[in-house]
Amino acid sequence: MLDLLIIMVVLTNLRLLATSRIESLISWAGIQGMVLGIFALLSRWKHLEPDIFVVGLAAFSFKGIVIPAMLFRLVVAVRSKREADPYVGFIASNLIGLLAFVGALWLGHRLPIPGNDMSNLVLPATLFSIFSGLFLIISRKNAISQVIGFLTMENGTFVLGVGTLYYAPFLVEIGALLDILVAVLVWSVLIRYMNRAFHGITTEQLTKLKG
Amino acid sequence: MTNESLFGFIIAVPALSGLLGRFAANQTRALGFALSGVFLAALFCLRAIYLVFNENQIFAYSDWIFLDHLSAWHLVVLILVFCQSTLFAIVYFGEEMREKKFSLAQARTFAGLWGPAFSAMALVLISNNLGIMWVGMEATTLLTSFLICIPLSRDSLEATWKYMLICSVGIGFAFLGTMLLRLAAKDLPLDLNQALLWTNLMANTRFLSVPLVKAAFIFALVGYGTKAGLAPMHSWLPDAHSKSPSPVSAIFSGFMLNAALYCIMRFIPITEEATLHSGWALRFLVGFGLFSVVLSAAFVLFQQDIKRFLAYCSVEHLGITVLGMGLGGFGTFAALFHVLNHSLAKSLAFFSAGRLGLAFGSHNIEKMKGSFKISPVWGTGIFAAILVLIGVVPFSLFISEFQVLKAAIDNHQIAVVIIFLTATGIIFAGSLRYALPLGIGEPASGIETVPVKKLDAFIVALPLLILLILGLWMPKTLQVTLSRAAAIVQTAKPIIPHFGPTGGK
Repeated sequence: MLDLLIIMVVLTNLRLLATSRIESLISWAGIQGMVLGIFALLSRWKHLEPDIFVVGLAAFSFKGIVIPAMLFRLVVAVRSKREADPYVGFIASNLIGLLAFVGALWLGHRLPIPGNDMSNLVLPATLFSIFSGLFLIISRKNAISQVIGFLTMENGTFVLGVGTLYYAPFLVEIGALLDILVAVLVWSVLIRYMNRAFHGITTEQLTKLKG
Repeated sequence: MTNESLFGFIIAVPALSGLLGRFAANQTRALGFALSGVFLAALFCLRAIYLVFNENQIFAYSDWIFLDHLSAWHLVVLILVFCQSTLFAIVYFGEEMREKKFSLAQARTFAGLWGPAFSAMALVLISNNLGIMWVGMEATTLLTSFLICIPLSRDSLEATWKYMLICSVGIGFAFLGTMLLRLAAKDLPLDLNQALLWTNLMANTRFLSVPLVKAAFIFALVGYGTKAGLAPMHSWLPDAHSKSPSPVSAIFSGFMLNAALYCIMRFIPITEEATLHSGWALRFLVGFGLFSVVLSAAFVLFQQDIKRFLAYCSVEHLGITVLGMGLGGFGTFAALFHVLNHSLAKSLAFFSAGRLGLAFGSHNIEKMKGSFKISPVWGTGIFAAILVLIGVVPFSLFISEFQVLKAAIDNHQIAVVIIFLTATGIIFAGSLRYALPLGIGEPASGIETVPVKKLDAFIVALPLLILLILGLWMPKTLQVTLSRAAAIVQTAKPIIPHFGPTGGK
């Protein structure tokens, strides 16, 4: 079951790489967030303590509902173009994604994890999510797509941090989740400012400061 | 006062001052809240530092919070830079208020974020839990981003965007590094809440999984290195430093970069112990350090904006610090000393550049010629600060640079010595080319002179005096503190270097 959820994370990453419309990009990021929330809950289902329950629930609601809702409101507020404006086409993005996944599998196997009570897919999924996030950031012009890239990256670390049996303490996980929430808040204010100053939110225009 | 309440005050007081500042009735009050929050917190910090000096380590909150010599040393730098910068903020924004350029909304944003930024940076230093340290570091990014675009413009928004994006990605890597370290410590029979504590990891390095520790170190180095402005991850730094208001540039360069570097310093001993002191981690530090120095040498030569020039200087000095760390032994001691020297000199440079920028109406180096005549105080400030930064005798920054060089020579790293000398030589000549006309040139006509004020003179004189005194004589207390802090990074016995009358020569 857990492996299935990890595979869903990998598939949502591939979907994110292939999505052209901003709205569906946000939806898929939200779905990935929900999957991660369920993953966090299920990974400790047999010994579900209150703090683990809170982390899982917070992940589900922040990553799956609150952040996507904030981004949807942002899209409406800035009347963003509906396309993600890629530098790299969607088919090419997906092919690169697949190659990266193979790379992540290889790298994941090279890093031995002590003990054998953890899915072999966790490390490759983490590395692949981080790659997908980075790729979204560098290959898309729309500022909101870049924010989603960042979220995907963070989701990758979340797989490693919470989804394994050896997650970090409660306060650290909650702190990290809150940090991400505040980061999205800062970004949405910043994107609103940018929209006013530059009459759009493509990052192509951010090229004045050089050298 | 218990340790719990002491640390509680260090975090809560500035945070509360931010909250009050956010709703201040006018600009003066907003600045007043920022000032009182920072100075009050500084008093609590001093108490904590005093305790560390007597007791070696102090703990609180089930050991999640602690202070040892390494963090106490950084806390000293933090309060010096922040107190100076807050005083300068009064001067800087006071002048902007006089010119009616500083609105109430801007004052509230500044005061609302300034204190909390102090809290976040202090949290980084006092965390024993590496996860909380990460949370603090990420919080500094979030809290300081709107400080950059206080004067809202296209340029400042561009700088803020790059800062947020690049640093968040960097910090994301650092989080992965932290999680990998947690995974490396999987087999330790520790309670969940105790497993990410630095002191526990250090006590059990033998039981960590070496490949995972190595992977964790790489991610932490690249991640926190991005925030510290190490080349080639420095690209946000010149933009953010040049576009933010000068008090903000000063804390960015004077402390925030060091806070990120401090995080790396916590990963170094774990990695080195786990790899049996093979020097595996140190090689990376030498590489990043040297590359930062070389890259800034290339870029310093072509700058027109004084604050961009100073930003590249920061890349250089952070590079020198990391290089010192990488050389190990005496180099670590020198690197920690360099942290203080650079922070004092660089914040002074940003203060002077900012205040002169207001007088000249530009940060263009060409247009800022003859600053002595426009303002004897700030003119001296910028001229002296640049001289200090390029390593002129007898200031202490020369001593620490010399010590790093000495560490390289002692290690027989001749290539490092040659590259270091060439790059710093280029920076020396290039910077002097800017500094001379900036100080003693003829100013363009029609620029109003800046009246001499006591507070201005104090802000300029204090760091210069400290740098001068430390260049000539290092107090025994400082030597002991530094060597104990260096010993923490090296996981070795404290080395008390022999100091002659002129320092480390």
